[in-house]
Amino acid sequence: MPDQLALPTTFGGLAAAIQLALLDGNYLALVRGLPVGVNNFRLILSGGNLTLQPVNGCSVDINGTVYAYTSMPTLAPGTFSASTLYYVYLTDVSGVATLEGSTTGYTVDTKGRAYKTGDATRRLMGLARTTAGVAWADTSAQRFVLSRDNRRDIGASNYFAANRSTASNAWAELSSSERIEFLTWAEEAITLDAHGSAYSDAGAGNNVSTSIGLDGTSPLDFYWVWNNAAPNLGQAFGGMETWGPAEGYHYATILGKVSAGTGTWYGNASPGGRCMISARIRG
Amino acid sequence: MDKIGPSFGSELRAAGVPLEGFAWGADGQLTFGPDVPQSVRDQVAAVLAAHDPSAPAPPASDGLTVDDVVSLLADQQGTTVDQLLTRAKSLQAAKAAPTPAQRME
Repeated sequence: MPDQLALPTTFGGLAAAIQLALLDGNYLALVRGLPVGVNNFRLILSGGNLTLQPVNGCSVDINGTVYAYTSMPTLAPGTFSASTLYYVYLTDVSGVATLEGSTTGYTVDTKGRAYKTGDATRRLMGLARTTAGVAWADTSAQRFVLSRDNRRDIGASNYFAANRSTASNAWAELSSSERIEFLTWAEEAITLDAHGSAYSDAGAGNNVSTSIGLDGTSPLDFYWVWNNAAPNLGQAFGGMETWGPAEGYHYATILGKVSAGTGTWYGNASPGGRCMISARIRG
Repeated sequence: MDKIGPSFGSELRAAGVPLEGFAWGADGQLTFGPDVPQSVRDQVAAVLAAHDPSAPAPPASDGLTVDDVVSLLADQQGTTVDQLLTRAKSLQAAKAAPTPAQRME
């Protein structure tokens, strides 16, 4: 027995669906007034595979037909390329929800539905990026799964596990292994934050500066700088900035520089004594 | 135990390594910016290979002693403040990167 019954959203001449769905084979549900364009699913990572999570329902409008799914599709990373951004589309194959990863972008129609460009039978569910080891990832340091609809705030963070130092007079990335990497939608802002403490072995009057680099070693507009009152005198830094980068993949990293001597930024395996960088994204 | 100790920065200076655009970690991690040439990376690696992480940090000061300052003032009577500062910074730089030749000056 199929677990979904689809009707066109233009059924009865209405711009809304009246749908009978047999859910889980146990009961009959009457779904009324589904708006055109409905999507009750969120793209998530579960057990190493991408899948869908129902949110306040289980219906989705694909090319004008509303489907109700209770069996969630999965998408394994196996056949994809490393470190590549994919658009994840949902299509119906003989009543079965099916996920597809593609590097082909999307087009938004006049009803707000995002489809694979050139193929309206594939509705965009989200963005996902593979790691260098060809896996899907959704960790604090690698937020590589974003949902197109039913978005929520997502935190990303990383920290210095050991002290980091530089003697550079120009901005330098302090640790390339302790970035935060993330995806973002074009229409969403992100908030970046870095805080911690650092010191310099140079004498009084010399500067230690800290900032955040987005996709490189150019600092954002905000930064922290202090004049050493004495050598090896730790100073705290911290701040945030809201930013609207282009859609897709980005990374953020802590930058540092000194006017003389060597600057050292604190790191530790445990919280409470280490510099950290974080971001708030949506997806 | 740390793999890179507090003396590493002064050792890089002593070896004449250009210091722009890279960083290091106490755990031995090196992070180079994309513009840092391979020749500099090789120099850093060479200094690291000879590095003793247990070596003490360089003096936690400008490297100038009271005697140094008094000597500077005595030698430079009649010069401008800017000239004195220039001499002081020169001496400071020399102390930050001591070489046998500089020690004999």
